[in-house]
Amino acid sequence: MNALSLLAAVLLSNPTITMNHDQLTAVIGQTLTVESVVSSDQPGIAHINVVSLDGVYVDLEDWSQDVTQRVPAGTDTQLDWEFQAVNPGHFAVYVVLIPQNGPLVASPPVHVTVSRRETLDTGGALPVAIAVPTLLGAATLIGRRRTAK
Amino acid sequence: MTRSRWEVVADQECRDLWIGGRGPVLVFGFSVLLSAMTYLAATNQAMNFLEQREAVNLMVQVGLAVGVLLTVVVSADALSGERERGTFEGLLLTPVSRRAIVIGKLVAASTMWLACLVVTTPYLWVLGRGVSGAGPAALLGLTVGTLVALGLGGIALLISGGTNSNKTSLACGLLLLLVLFAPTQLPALPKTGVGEVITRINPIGSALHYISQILVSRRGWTHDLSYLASPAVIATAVTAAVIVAGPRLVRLTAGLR
Repeated sequence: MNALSLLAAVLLSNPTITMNHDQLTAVIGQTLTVESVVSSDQPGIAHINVVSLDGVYVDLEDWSQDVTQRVPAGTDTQLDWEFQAVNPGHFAVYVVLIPQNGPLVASPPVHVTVSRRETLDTGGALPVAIAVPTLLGAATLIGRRRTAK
Repeated sequence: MTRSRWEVVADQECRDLWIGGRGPVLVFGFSVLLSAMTYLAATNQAMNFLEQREAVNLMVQVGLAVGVLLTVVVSADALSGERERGTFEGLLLTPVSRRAIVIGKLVAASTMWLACLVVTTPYLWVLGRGVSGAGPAALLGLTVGTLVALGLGGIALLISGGTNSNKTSLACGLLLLLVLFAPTQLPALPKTGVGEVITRINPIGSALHYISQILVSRRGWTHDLSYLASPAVIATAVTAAVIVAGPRLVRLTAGLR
């Protein structure tokens, strides 16, 4: 670290990040929004991350399309993060600030509990999926035979 | 009670379409497609994201798109097909006005959409059980879908009246559908300023957007009613154009056009 960077790190106060929730619940597929406020004297890049607390693989691209946002210097910057709960289980969502100088700063985690939901069952769909074309096909054949006679 | 002349034409056209015609075969193919979609939506793990309401919405959208496609195919064949098959002269000799002929043909073509809607209903019932989605979906299909089918079917009929070649009218009708349907596959389109204008102008895009807002986002029926302006205006304008231009459409011309 050169002397200028060291001086900057000493002079500038530490950036902070606050989140508007500490825990959330969702149903799989639901879209959630969390709001973070970044206070930083220097510009940087904020990045959202999702970690599974159950050891499930998390593909961040599936959860959110916009994972980074620029943070200007000197003001409290409100950043909204929209993500979709794509896996069931327990997760921690947090924001990391990568400042121009100095170490990374992480927000407190937002604990997200994602529950499964009832999906469609095959039992009800299969009879209809078979019966309707069968009936229509039979009606078509009978109609054609009668017309041919 | 004597029937209107256009009713007589519509009755005969419906018989031609549904008794021994290609109507039952097209609807059978339509039902096979819906069966495959329903089975996939209910069983495929990759589609498990689909909430039941989204599955109902998907079925309405597929039903509307393919139902309108079949209506356009039938309409595009209505006049150019008669010319091409050499049956147009016989049609012109019938003691009904040319306007009645073209109105009757439009009504008969619209029965294809109604048949598709009837076939879609059991699938909607299966997918919408427990979330009260089938009733609103069927009602949306009947109202919004009928507007779209009438408008685009009418345009296909106008095209069919202006050409002697069935291939030309079918190609124009399908191209029109493709052009209107393609923007609806851009997921973020209604969220941008220009995209919203395109969605609102496009009768298919606005209809699908309106339907998904009610079925998936659970908005009220009147909340996005302005999106129905395009399908309603096009259906009204095209029906008026068919009635006004009917006598000029139903005529014999020499050579290929």
